[in-house]
Amino acid sequence: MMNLDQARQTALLLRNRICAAVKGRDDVIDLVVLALLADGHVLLEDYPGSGKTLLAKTLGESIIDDLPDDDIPSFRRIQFTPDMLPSDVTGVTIFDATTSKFSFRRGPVFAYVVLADEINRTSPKVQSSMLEAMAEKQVTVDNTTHRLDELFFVIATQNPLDLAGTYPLPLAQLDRFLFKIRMSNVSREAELEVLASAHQRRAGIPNDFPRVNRGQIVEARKAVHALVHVAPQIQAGLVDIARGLRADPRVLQGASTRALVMALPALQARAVMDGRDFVTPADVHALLEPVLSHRLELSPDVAVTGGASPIIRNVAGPILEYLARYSMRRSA
Amino acid sequence: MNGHRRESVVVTVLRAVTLVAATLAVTYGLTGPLGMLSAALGAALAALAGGRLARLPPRLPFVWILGIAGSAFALLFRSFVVDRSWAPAIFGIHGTFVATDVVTYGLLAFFVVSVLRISASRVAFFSLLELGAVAIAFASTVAAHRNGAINQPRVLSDWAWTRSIDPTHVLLAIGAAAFVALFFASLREERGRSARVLVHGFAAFLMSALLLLILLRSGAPHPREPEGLVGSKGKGSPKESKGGGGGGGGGQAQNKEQKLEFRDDYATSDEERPVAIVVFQDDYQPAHGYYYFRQNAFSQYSGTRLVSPTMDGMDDDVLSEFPRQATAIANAPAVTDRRHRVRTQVSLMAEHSSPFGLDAPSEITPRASPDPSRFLRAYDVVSAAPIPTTALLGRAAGFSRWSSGVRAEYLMTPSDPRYKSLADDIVTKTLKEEYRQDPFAEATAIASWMGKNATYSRKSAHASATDPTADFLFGDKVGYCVHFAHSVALLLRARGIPSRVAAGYAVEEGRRGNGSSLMIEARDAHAWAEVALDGEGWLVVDVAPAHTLDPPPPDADRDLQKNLGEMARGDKSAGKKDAGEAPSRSFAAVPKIALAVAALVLLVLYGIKGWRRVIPHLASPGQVPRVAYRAALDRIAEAGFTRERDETRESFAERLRPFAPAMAPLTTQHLGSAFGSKMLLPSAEVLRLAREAANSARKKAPFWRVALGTLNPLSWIQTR
Repeated sequence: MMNLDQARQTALLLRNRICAAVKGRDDVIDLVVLALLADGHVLLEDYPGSGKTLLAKTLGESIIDDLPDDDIPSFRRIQFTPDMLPSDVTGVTIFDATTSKFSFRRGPVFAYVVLADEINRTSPKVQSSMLEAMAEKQVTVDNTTHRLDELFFVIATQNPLDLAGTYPLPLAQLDRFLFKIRMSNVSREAELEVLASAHQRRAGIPNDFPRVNRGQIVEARKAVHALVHVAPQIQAGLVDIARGLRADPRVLQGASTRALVMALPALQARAVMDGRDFVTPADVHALLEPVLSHRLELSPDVAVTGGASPIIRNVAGPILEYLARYSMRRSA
Repeated sequence: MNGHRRESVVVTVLRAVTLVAATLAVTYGLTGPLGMLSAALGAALAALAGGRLARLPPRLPFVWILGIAGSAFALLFRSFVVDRSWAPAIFGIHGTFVATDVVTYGLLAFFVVSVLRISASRVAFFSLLELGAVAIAFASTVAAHRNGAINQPRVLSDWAWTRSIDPTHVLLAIGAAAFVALFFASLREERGRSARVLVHGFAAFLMSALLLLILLRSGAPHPREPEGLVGSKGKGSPKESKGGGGGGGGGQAQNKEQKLEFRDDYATSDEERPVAIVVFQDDYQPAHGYYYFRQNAFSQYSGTRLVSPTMDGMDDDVLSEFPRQATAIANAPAVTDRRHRVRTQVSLMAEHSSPFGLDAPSEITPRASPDPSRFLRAYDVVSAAPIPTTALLGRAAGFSRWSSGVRAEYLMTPSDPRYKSLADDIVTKTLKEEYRQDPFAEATAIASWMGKNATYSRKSAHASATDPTADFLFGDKVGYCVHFAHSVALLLRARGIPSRVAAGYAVEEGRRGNGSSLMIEARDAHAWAEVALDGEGWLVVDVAPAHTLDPPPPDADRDLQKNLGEMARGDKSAGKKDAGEAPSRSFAAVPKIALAVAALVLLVLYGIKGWRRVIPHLASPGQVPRVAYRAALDRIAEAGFTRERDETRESFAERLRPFAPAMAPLTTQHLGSAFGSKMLLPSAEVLRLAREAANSARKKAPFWRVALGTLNPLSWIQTR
């Protein structure tokens, strides 16, 4: 099995390659790579033209398909529209006249990295088929179950403002995403850099950062899961934060237990990216918002004014401070 | 950055009131009511207009130059006007003075306050200057010490004293109240960071408590030994005149030899400083209008002057050091109808080398100082004090107990024949035939001749002469008491009357007033001649100069004298009946107990601080990442860097990266040991990281910050 250092190198290769292509989005790229390493999916919330597609595409291109026989491409993009059918995502069973047999034709969901663009524009039926694939890594068509690749990674996007004619994802489905990342406007310098290099990128200059194998990523996931220690205090802290959020009057529905289970690999992955073999309170501090913000249903008045972030900070603050001080205790 | 925030009217008015009050505090004593009013108006105008003035274009240096020029003009204004004849012609003399005061102080206040105000509103830092100026203005009126005896201001200290409260405690209480007020004001100001302010404030409180404790234990700074007339011990030249007469015997007395200093300008800066307080326990009215307190006697002629004797049996009525037990003075004059028994208590407020008592002491008994922080030493004196009398005629000169050697020593004169001829001349010209051989009459005649013919001035010009006495007596006859005393003594000796020069203090009778206590001030140092009359002891023969070039001395502080007397008497319940002694004593112990507790707390805090600093080197390897990290945090906190409440340890280390790059790996080590890492460095390496992180952070911080932090006993509390 891979050791942690190799896992870290793998993640860093990906990260550097994407960073070279997408300017001014280092924090988002970090989270995306983290999610990939933690075997979770990502929901990006941003305005059109802010580099979401480029990010996902570069990620997909960075992965070398080391299983050419399985016919699964590295990257696929699905543009969701209201008139889509689930089969447009998962694939269809077609009748082959020559062999007189039904055969399954794979939909775009069969890829290592799938960009689900504007996922809230399609009907709940399509959404749910997509989400089954995300949760189970399999699709069922005509009662036949087809397994997806082990490295199945979805980057879904939605536009936060343009809500006309959309079907907002219900909370239960949002729960499938490891992170919801709200992207902010890029800095002036980054934007200038984008303009300066626009011509070159249109010409499609080769990105000479090394790529990584699909198998390496899968191995890295296993190493992260097996080798990074999560102290009982950290787990206790996570549970306390979740319970605190559920008890908070501003929160109608708090984070699920699944959310905590999914958070663990993310914390481990962040530790690895930081070169550590243990999870610290800072990991919790950094990942709380992307992990929890889309999993809370807030009471209407609060939802309008502040959103989830202040509540999370509010509830988690004392617990994080307690965790930070815990290391100074003699019993630690 | 020209965002002129409009401040609220309340703030402006409050600031103006403060500045006006400070101006009044400064000008109070300097000028009359009209001048003060004008200064207050100037200050108010400047305070109210300062904000507007600050928005004018001139740059700060120009403002300062303008302010200095304006102040200089205000100060010089008086000489511009008063010296001209036209001004008094219009306003009259008094009117001119008042008018110039009004203009001078008004302008001065306006310029100073407006410069302060403009500087403060332009640059935030200068508001410290403004604050400091106000603080000094107020503190200066409270800080004066009444010559180191009782704290100023009178209203407060005298009020406190008549209620048997030590004024020090009142002032301390006011200071403590101000501290608390400031403390809460800054709490309000800092809002979110109140916990930190609390810590700093508490540390400051503890430190000041310790300082106070030290101060109270060692007592307030004592006045130096009064220079007086006797050269201080160390300065006396070690090899004083061997050829000075046939002084055989006691070689060991050599180093104790003292002499009176002849100085050209005898004036000290702090003349009104009290050096002792004498409490009279018996009625007494002095013989010559002065209370004489003899400390030294000089009777051995050294060729140019009289010095303390080296021969046994001379001046044995003068003690050369403080007695340890009740000591009767040998050969003290007896109590007769011309000398009454007077008991006094002497409490010294300045170092003295030997005791002194009301002329002439017969017994000196040391006693415990009633208040060691104020009185260095106390003793009881029983004196046989002379009362006004004329029954001294017909006494023989010298004492019958004297050996011929001693008598010869008391008669030793310069070889200069002018002394003899002058003395004879005085006696024959002023005395009737029948009194010309009477020692007392001769002494009186010579002293009164000196008083009529010599001029008193502290600025004499005889010190460089080889024989200052002759230079004075046969020269311009301008000198001070040392010259007078020497002249009288030597003239008497020329007439064959044994005499000597005594030094100590002489206090005018009127100074005592109706009270029983007498305050001796540094300016009362005096020297006089004494003559030995058989059966009467040494009698003071002092000169009352008819002409003096010096201004009359200021009045003594009667209230201070009274208060010091009550303190010296050890009578704490001064104004009250003697009821409730016990509770007042336990009340007096409260501040001391509180201070002791504060000191103990401080000690414990420093102990904890030191322990946390040392323990990394003693801890077991498993604990090292924790305690070494903690020690590093402590030392970094001393340099002013602390983790904020919502900051993770890693982001704190990241914030410190420019100052202490070793902090990040150290933090990882620490967290790794707490959260189960398997990749930990050896202890030695962790210790090295901790040392490196702390040292580099402290090097980057300003020195004063690190020094303050290191002193702060509570700095470690900020370590989280």
